[in-house]
Amino acid sequence: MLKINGLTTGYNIGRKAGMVLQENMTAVVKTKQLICVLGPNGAGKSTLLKTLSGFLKPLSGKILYDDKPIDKLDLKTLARLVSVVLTDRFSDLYLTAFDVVRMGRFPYVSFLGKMRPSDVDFIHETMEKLGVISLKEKPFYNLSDGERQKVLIARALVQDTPFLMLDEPVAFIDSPGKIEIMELLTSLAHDQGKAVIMTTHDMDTGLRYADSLWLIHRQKPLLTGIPEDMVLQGRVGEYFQRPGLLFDREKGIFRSSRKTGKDRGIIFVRLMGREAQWLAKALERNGFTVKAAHDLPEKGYFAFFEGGIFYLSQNGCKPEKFSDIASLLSVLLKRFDV
Amino acid sequence: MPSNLRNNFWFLILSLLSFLLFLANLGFGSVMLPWDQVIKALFHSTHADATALIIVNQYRLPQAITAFSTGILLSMSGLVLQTLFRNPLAGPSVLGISSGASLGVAVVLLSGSIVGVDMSSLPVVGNLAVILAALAGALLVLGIILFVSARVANVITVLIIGIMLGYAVSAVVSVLQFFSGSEDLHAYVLWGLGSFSKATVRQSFLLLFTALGGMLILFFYIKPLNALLLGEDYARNIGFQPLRIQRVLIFVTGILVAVGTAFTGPIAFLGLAVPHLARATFKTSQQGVLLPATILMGIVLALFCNLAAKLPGYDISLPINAVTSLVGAPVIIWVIIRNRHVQLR
Repeated sequence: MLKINGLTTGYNIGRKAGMVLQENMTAVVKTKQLICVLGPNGAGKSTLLKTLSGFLKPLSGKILYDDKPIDKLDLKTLARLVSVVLTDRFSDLYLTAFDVVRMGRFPYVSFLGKMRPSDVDFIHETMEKLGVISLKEKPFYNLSDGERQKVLIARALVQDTPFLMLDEPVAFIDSPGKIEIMELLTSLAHDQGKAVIMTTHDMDTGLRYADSLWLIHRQKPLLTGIPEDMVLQGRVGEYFQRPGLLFDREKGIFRSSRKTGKDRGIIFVRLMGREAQWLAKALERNGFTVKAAHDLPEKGYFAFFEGGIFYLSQNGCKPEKFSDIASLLSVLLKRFDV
Repeated sequence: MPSNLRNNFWFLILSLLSFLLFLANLGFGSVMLPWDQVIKALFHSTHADATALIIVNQYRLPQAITAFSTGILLSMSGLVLQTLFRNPLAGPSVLGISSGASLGVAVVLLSGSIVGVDMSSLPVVGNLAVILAALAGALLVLGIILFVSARVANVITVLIIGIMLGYAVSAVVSVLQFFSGSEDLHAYVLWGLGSFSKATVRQSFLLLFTALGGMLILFFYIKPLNALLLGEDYARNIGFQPLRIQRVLIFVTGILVAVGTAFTGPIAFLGLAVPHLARATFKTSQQGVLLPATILMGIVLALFCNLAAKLPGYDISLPINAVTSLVGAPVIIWVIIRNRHVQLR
């Protein structure tokens, strides 16, 4: 278990007083948990992660791994407790994916770095499991962002630690890759019993996958809780608040508080099925206000989807047919903008 | 594994080349000696020719051992510094240590015309004074570097300070040069061109033991050096103390370079170019392969350059620095061209 008690993070610049990023944080990390440290850019997420990993000294407060203060643990012990995935890039031309992964075994092998057969097997198994075994001999710098991230996670996994810390692991990854990595991290927490702590500035990722959300902000205290409660209590909105943005508690997303486009009026939509949902989304994006309705109202526009066809009717008249949302939208826009 | 096979092949070739080049260094020179005479002289056979005995054992052997040892010293220091600073253009000269040696030598060789006491002209003491001055100058700069590195957390800062220190020291040398007489200046310029032939038999063995000792120490640092390839944070995460490793290795390579420079003068390019050659040949970044590879290639290149500089069969010989630069510069250019496709950061 990792306990954080009154932790203040930041940097000491020379002999002058340091720059404080986060003050007086208190939290507990249990195993079998995926924790997302969520906050806007520059809030001090990476600094917190590096402080917890022992790379930076806390300005004050305590970090306890299984009730032992981090500064009392020697580096070898810490290396078997915490593994990290960072955003650093390596410049070496000939460093292969395997070279990178195998470094994770260094805390377990002799001072000459000679691997035992069991170490090599473990490395291969791990790379196989993450689907990066085919990249083994490839130069690391040549890998795609997603491949790199998985190789780095493999490196952390062969280090075989109860705590896994990742700095922005999905920041530059495409959507399918993002899901893949987040599913992997979730499974590491839930199935392998690790405590996974990751930073992200991406609210959707945090809300969707975190077992526990740590909201951090330069001017606000650390707030922890499960994502759903945080949304309902308006905390997420509060921590990401920026002038001109409003948090939608129903959808868990931010939208502009200013009316950017035109306010085109009300459209009634029969909100059944995913086609209708996407239709509603398209209408909202174009400045319409969508209201749920089941049947044709007497006045106004009504849209619905049935049997593979989109329908639009005006003032209760016979509905027109459309094969896709775009054609429906263009007809609607023509009428409204005349 | 094919890469293992390739490595072993290259290790074999390089060992063989080292041996042959060492022999060639003993066999070739301005005086042509028949091979049987060279071998006999080398083993102090009773049938050995008296002239051959002197030429081989007093001149060619210490020179070959000096080249051999300097090859080891400079190239392995270069590899360690490049890994340590994560900079492909780092090398023994970047820490300002050879500039420091130059300052020491400049003080000894050039002080005559300025102060009026010419230390270098004293018999016997002359050669030793130059060596000690070079060592003192190199260690002075190394001391400053270590003092600084204990106070800054960033290793790149140390690198920049080393380069700046080199400039500052060179400036002092220029001033000394400006005020000194042409004869002293000539002696200084000659020293600056480097030479493997200044060391006596004893001194060459001292160099050899320094090289072997350094090798032994650095072999214990293969694992931390590998760890540093991923950067300081990752190295720390797998249980290493990057700051301590950096300081120890700067100290060790500093001493190696200082000793080497003291006996041979500043040798250009070997330390910078050989690690690149080793990487390109063995196509790996694993320090456990690169360290022996760099050492062997350093030996081969140093012995080859020395042989080329001797211009076998001619009465004259070229300055060693001219030869190492002629070999080294194309290597660096080739590395840059090779890397132009690689985008980092």
